[in-house]
Amino acid sequence: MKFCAVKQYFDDENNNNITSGASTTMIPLPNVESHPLAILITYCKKHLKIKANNADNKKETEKEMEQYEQELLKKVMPQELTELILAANYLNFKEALDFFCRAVASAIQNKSIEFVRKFFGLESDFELGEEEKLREEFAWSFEGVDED
Amino acid sequence: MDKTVLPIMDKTVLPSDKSIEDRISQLPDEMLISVLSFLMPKEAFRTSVLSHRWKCLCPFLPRSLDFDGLYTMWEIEREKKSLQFERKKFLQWVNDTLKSCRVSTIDEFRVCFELDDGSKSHVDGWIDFAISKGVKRLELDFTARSPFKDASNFYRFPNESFTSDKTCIKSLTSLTLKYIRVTGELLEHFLSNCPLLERLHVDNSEDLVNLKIYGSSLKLKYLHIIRCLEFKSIEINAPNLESFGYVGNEIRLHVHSAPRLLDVRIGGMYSHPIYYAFGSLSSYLYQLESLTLDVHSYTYNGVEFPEFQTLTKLKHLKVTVATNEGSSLLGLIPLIEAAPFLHKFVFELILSKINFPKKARKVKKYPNEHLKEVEIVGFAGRAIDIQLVVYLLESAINLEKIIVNPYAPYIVGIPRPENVRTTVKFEGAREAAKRLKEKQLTRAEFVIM
Repeated sequence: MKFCAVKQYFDDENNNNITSGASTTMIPLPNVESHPLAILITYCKKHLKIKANNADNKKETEKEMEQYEQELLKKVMPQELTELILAANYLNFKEALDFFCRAVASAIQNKSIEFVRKFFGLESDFELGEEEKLREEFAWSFEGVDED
Repeated sequence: MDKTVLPIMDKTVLPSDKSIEDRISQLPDEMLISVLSFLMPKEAFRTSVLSHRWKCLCPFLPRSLDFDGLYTMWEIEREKKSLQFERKKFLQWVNDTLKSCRVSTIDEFRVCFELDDGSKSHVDGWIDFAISKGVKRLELDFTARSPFKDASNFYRFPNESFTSDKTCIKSLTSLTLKYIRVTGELLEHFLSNCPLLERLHVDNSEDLVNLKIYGSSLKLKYLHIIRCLEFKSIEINAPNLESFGYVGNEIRLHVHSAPRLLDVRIGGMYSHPIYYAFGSLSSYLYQLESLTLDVHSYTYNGVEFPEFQTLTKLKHLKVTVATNEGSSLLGLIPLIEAAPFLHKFVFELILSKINFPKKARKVKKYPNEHLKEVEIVGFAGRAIDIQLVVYLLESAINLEKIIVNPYAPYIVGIPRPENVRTTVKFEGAREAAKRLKEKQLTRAEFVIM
């Protein structure tokens, strides 16, 4: 089920007996920006299309979907990924959420902490010396890292 | 542990000018942990240095050391690599990682590679390490993929270190040993000294002969003994046992007490019978919710099930049948009908192409109101399985989903690297499945893999 939050909205509407009028209904999505929403809608449509094309061959569906996902990642700015995760989470769109989480994981894989901080826009809130101690405790996990 | 393939990110470029707004902190903890779960544990722990919030996520990350050599083993099988060479690399990798690991406790320790007694000193050290870190789930999978492996050469689980009292073993909840020589006495020792042990799985140990499971406070929930060729007898007194599995030759099976038994797996080898098990389990059949059977039947008579007492609670049934094209699978029907509330039926077919002359069979059709899901693995598109599928489609009037998978069960069942090309074993299987789908014998969703 894609876009569960939207479906919920429709279900609620029916329960309240609001006449929806024609086929266009305005659904308020205050927490989602238009750009990530557009990407998610395209992703969803593509997913359904690939699934329909390959109804008799699930493996083909998976392969094609992977190819599409690779293409999509080339066009999306890494920094937009956070927005996409937030949007997919709000809309309750599980497949897209999993995909974008994996993409973020891939982006920070093997990168130094400084890089990850800049990537997420995070500020360190550790006191002097605290960070040093932590780095020592987790020294074993710092091997084999890309330096900026 | 799942080895999820991460999507490839082209060179990640940072914005050169002003800093980005910190949006990631708006994500709830579960979402951050979800992102981290796709990274190797080593990488995930690194993020604890980012800020206080990330550090607090640390205790929620799974502390597991998983040395999975499955992909390498597959390449060795394909003769792209040499076992000797890769084994040395593997041992080096594990030893180096353990040396630099300074975590104080670990939850899971898993090794999956073909190792034998030649690596004993290394593996003994790993086991000591895991126990000293209070490991909860220990899995050693040394499955031998090279042919003609001499079972007496398998790694011998260290008896000596466990007869003395080791306090940290109190943490063990799950123990899985495959292609490792371990005796019944040692397993019984674990059962008495690990008060939290819930799961025990032993595969291919020729030193396992007898086993006595008993203890009023025994927490054991899962016990599976697979293909231990010298195994002769087992006695079970397990107040919490929920899942019991045995695959092998006929044994003396005494189930004195297993009041919580829900799931049973019984498999034979080389046409050995499995029905003796139903005698031993007769007092528990009525309470089972799931049943898995491995039937090898290369004889003329094909697959036949005797009269069955009613499996009143059975919801899931999985039957793997290895047989030839001449036999009939309609012999499974009494089994299906003995389960009036069956929800899901999975059928795996391992078909050999030997042809015995076919036996005609008439079968009365009873409507089955509860069966919701059917899955067929190893679909060959021959008379033998089409007959069974048609029977199921016509009798299961409330069927919601049928999945037909033309790939052989051994391909589907064994984890393989994603990019391996696999072919369907029987030509025309997928086309036959499509034709069946077109006949529209059912309103259910018809999925062809």
